Amino acid sequence: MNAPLTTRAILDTTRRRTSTERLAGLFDAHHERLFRLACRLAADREEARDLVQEAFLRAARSPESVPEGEQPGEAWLVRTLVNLCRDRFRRLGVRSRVHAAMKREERTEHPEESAVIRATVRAALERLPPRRRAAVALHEIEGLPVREVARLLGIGEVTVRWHLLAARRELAGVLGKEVGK
Amino acid sequence: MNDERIRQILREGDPYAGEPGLSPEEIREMRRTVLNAIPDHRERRFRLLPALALAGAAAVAVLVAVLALRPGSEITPKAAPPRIATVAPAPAQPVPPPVVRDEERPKVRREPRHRRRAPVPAPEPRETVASAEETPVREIQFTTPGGTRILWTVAPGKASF
Repeated sequence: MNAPLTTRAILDTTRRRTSTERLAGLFDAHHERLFRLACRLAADREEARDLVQEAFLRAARSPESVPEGEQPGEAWLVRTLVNLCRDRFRRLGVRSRVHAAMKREERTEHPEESAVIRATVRAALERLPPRRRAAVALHEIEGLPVREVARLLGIGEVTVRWHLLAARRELAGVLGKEVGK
Repeated sequence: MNDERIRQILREGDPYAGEPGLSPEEIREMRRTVLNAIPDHRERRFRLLPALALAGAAAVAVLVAVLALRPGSEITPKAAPPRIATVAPAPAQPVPPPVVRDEERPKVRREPRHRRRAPVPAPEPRETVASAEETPVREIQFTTPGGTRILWTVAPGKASF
């Protein structure tokens, strides 16, 4: 049986169709880029995939909270991803994360040099708090300018520079011992 | 270790570098999951309907209670009117009985002291509402809702000061 064709029903259907189209557009435009960032923030591929899906699900559950426009929508998704990463970071203790990273490194038998560097970088990044890690991933690895990083993370440029400075200091200690010798 | 060397190591060991990315099946499944999660506004509104109805009923009940118990409403018992009491004059003193000599008094068997009952007090004179003609002195008593008592004594022939 068809629902009565009232003005409200028509508006609801239109709104739902608009939300679906908008979210589909956001997904198609940003899922790959978000997965790339998630891989740099998360411990493994599965976690990265979960983070991306959860970020899009948040957008789906409250479409009105996603700002209009391509760039604001992308920034909202990146911020949501980083916040989800922060939630996980808080849930897991620092000690358990470091132990997991060390175990992953120990498991590698006869590792090639690139694999060693990758494991070391991942372990070093995991020591950083999520927002700082995101700043490093976006600026140092992806090569985005500081202004773009600040826009995506929703923080000031000065804060981004401060995060990068602190991250470099921490990474130099870890990477210097493992890779730089 | 300088900044440039750190950047170089980070790019060499980029965690995403070895990842194949999401497969088309994964992307399709994720897309479907995400798009199906958009809530239907109609469903959301009907989900709130019982709660709204309950809140409305509670508001109406509170309103009715406030209107009913408001001072001055008909349901509220009215304050008692000021009491006006009229005190009758004291009864006339009874005439003492004539003195009777012991020889003439009839013999009454007296009970022992421990069996004697306490004398029953005489009943107090009942308050009666006297008519204006019978009462030369009238007292009018008011009690305010606050508890203050006002007593007027009206005596004919006496000027009030």
